Amino acid sequence: MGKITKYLPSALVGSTIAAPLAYIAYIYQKDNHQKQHAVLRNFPLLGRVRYMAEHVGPELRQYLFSGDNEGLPFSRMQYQDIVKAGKYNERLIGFGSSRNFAEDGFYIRNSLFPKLRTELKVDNSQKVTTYQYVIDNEGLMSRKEHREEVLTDPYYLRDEDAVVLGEGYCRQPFRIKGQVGMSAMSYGALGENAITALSKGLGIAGGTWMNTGEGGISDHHLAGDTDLIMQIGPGLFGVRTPGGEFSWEAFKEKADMEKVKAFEVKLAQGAKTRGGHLEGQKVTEEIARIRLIEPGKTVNSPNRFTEYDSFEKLFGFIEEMREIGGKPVGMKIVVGDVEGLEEMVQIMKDSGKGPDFITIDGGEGGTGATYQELADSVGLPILTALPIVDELLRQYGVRDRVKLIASGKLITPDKIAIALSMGADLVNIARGFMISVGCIMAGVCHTNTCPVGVATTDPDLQDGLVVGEKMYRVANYVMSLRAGLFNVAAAAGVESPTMLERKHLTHKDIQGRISSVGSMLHKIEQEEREEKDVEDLPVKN
Amino acid sequence: MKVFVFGGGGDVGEYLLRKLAAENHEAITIAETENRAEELKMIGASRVYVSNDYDFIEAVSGCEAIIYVAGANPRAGENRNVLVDKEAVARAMEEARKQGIERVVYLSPARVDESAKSQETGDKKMPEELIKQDVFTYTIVYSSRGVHKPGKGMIDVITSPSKKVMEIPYEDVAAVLVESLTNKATYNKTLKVASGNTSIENALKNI
Repeated sequence: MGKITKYLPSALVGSTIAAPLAYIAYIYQKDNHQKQHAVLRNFPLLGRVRYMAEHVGPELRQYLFSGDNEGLPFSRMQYQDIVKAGKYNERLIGFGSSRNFAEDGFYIRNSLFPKLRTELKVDNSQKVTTYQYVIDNEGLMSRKEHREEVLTDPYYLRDEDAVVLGEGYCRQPFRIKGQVGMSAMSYGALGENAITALSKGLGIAGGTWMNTGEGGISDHHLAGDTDLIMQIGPGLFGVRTPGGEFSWEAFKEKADMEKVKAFEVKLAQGAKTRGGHLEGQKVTEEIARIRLIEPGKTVNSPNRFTEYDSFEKLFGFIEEMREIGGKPVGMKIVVGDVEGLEEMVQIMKDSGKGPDFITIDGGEGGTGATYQELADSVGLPILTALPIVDELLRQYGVRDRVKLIASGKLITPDKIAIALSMGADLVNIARGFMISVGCIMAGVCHTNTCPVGVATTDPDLQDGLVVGEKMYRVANYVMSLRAGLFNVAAAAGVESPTMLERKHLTHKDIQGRISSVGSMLHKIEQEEREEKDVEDLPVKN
Repeated sequence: MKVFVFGGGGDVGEYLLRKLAAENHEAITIAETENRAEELKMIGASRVYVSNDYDFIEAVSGCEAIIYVAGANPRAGENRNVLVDKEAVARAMEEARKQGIERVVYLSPARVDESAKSQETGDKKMPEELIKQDVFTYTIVYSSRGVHKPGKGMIDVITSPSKKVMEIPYEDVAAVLVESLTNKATYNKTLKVASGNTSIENALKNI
């Protein structure tokens, strides 16, 4: 006893110093002898600072060091615009824009005589009950806010302005009273809570649609009262036989579902001109059951529909689906090969066949998983791709047969209005909706470790996502976007966003000069001609 | 009942048209533009006259009651210093008298929770004397601050003046006006209402 009291203090002091020293020595030795990292061999222990800094860098930049307009794919400002629209149903800002006006970009041409509220062709005859947050008091360390039930104007299009897919071409055309819908996001890429919140939120907002993504229709897509566009990718999930063939029986079953309003054949998406990809960690037993695949195993759809390698064959497939299903059939493409597209449009004109709608995804579009090389450099961005398709269709006189859906970072009303002016009839949003259900842009969609339970099928992480809370944010976000579109339309001097055209748009270059965006193809041709003229000049001697 | 609604296009007005349609009344109102008229018909008005070309006499004729949601129309061109278009009220009441319309329900632009001084601002209380004529069976309603929340159908009739800012969903204000139309207890009275704990029907019955 006496010895313990005598030696304990010095033993404690000794060990609190010795233990860390021993640990440091151990790490030093370990770093020094490992063969993986050169920097650690040369600078044991110290070199670890590099890895720590690299690891926390993205978070530090996102939250502290990047400017409000920096950061890609979405800046902090853009992120906040989405969150505020969903949470507070609010698009007001104070003091002024933080857009960099010195850069080049598109602008809406405002009319000197904008439309009055009472002149807008909007349908607010049905109000929508939703919840939104109201801030009571905001301090440095805390924010007091509460959620309250409100009646909101949904900003539907008038019946006569509704966009109709497949009108006159199929037995059950799809009428849509709003121009903004959810882009393809599969169950599997997103978890069941996220899909359920989206389905319910879109159902509350109405006048919109939900694209199922190529992973098939799950009960979660059907949880809310919203219309579905079922996507069919090269993997044929949800519409295939166990042997991997396209199953007309399964297709008919889906086509008979009341909520399924249209089908979309996915040739490509902006982030990857290839089939879908789902990492093995995300493939739960339920997902495996829906897709008829092996649980836990990474899924890779083929790059293209194996059977359909020409427009004739593809259009034949589309015709058959439309005939059997009775519902509109569209296709999703990425634009790059303009000559190839011209061939497609020529065939549409000659054969009278083709899709009821074309979804054009810009190269900047998002994904749950892709390869860097495809995401960064394959496929044109939407504001180049969209007008090309619009013009080709007009040139061949088939524009009225097909509706265009545009996508690629079109997450705020102004960007959507620009796409509508460029020729889009409708706009698809994916990441905007992810943010509305809680995405914090952690950028780990492919790993199943999404910290907010959106892009994960892990039940524990999904616990964080409360459907009853987030579904209203989805609804508010859609309604706010539609309200914003009417706002822009009024400023441009038209009564409805469906009336926005190229003439309502102007492009300002970096030197402040403006140019019209009347004809993209015409400009390409003109430049080609000019180049040719230069070549043809007689050489003087 | 065939009801002429003045102010059918405002916040309360839209709910009023819905409520009247839901209770099988026939609502006739005025709008500023053709487009707005179309909208109000979608909401529930059975007939909408456009303000610059309607025949006032034709519009009011055959109506059994008037619901007047008072305010100032920026196009009315009366003195800009008013918050209620008194001339418009005078014109409407004159016509109602000529046509023999007896029942008038009037929503004051002044609020329950405003101070007496604020209630007088912009001549907000001026038109009331026009409503309180002997020929009319009137009900004048003061509401608290309107909000875009769903109506609960529960109100309190306020008897003592209060400075506390109380709120009431526009939908409930509309319901009070429609309920007052036929509820004899409200005849020739001025009511002050806010959200509360009694159903609208009972609250009005026991004034």
